[in-house]
Amino acid sequence: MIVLRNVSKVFDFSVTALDDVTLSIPKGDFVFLVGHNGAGKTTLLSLLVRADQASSGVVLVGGQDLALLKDSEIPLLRRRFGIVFQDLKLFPGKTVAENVALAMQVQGCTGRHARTSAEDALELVGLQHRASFLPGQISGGEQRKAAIARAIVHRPEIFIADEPTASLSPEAAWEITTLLMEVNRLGITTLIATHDKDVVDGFSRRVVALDNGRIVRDVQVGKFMEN
Amino acid sequence: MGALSSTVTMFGSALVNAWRHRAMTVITVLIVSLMMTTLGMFLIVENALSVMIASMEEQVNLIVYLQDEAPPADVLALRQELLDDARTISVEYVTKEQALERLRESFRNDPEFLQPLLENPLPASLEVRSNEAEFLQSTAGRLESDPIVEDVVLPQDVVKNLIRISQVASFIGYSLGAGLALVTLFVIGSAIRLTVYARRGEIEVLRLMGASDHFIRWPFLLEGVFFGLIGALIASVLVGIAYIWVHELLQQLISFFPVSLDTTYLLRLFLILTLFGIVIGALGSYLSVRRFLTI
Repeated sequence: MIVLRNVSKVFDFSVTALDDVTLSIPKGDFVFLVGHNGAGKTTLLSLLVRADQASSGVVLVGGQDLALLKDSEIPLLRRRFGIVFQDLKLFPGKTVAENVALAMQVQGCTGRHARTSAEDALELVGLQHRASFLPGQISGGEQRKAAIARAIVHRPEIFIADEPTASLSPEAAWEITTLLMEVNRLGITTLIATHDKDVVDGFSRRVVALDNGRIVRDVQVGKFMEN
Repeated sequence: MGALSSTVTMFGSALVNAWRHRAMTVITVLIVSLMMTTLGMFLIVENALSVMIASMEEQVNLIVYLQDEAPPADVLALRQELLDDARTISVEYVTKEQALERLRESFRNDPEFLQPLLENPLPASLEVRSNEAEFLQSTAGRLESDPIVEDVVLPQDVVKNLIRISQVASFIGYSLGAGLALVTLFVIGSAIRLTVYARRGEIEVLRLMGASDHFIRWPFLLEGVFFGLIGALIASVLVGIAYIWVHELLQQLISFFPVSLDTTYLLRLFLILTLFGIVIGALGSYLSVRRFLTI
């Protein structure tokens, strides 16, 4: 479960990225985090993996207060997440399979186990036929699938993706979002930051809208939850 | 087994990374080998100068004239005491008779000159050789007051000049050597920092994926060691060729000095360069990666 209680984040003492945000995401939930550029979506995600710290308020992940984490505990927190970065950040010199297996190696699994898990994850996203390709040799949609495979290969508790459908055709965006639903069906709490209205409207899921760092809407599609 | 597998994976990963970023690898290895070659060249020139100075110092003898009535046991004890010092090359005992014989030899074209001698006036002596002029000077000072010693003779001007040359050469050698080692460290460190900097994005991603510092650092450290090792091996070959060339040149230019090809020194130099390369490579990587482990 993810809980943010009165969380604010101010950069350089003047730029407010998040302003008194309170949010609760139960285990296994699927949430679209929407808002225009600069609304605070990426900042919120970065607080969850302790890439940044809240200026005030409390961030809890699985009951653990992230402000109290020691430096040595941060990697352990991050291993509970699967992350798809906005720019994907695939390693250009490694094959698709190696990129995915790397996430297993980070967890401490090496050799055969890492390779087998990578093959399974690639099969799940339908990319097994591209395993030996370099990221630069496959399409943008396939690169996103590879990034998703890398994020789920270790069966994380929480999956977060920052603009996973950006720059994709509507068909490809639909395919990727469907894939994310499948990820969620594995029991993984899923949090998707996006400003792709079509994707959000097309799936009946919880939507949390941010504007200027504040939550302005928290609704289940078709069902008004909170203003 | 797990640790071994992990080490093999990291080592393999380091080599694969070095290959995949081969342009940076080649540039870094070239910079490392260039700097190590410069350092190695300096060391062989410094060594050649040291050998020359030591050779000059070996030409100087300290002559300790002994009292006629000096007990043989005391003379033997003094000789042994001098021989026991590691700085002593040899101590030759010259009897009164041998001294007279040498004198006669030097006057063999004018034998009448020595006719008036009724008895041998020359004292027995100890001729001390060392490759350290400073040692000869201090020994001369100490033995002047020894009861069995009649006199000590040391070419003071020559000795003083040699000591000065030796001290200046040592000072310049150590200063330049230390400076060059620091510059080498800085340049190689910078080259490795560039390779790490070029891959700072990878480090950031690994950090966000939950990789430990150890997991991120080791492949870079091994890469640094690889750069240092290959650079040092190339430098060793170049320095070895230069050493043989300098040796031949010295023999032609100053043939009166017995400068021999010292393979032990050469092997020691290779070892120093290799260890220096490995340490600098690892250190450069360690410091460079540390900067990016704060995300």
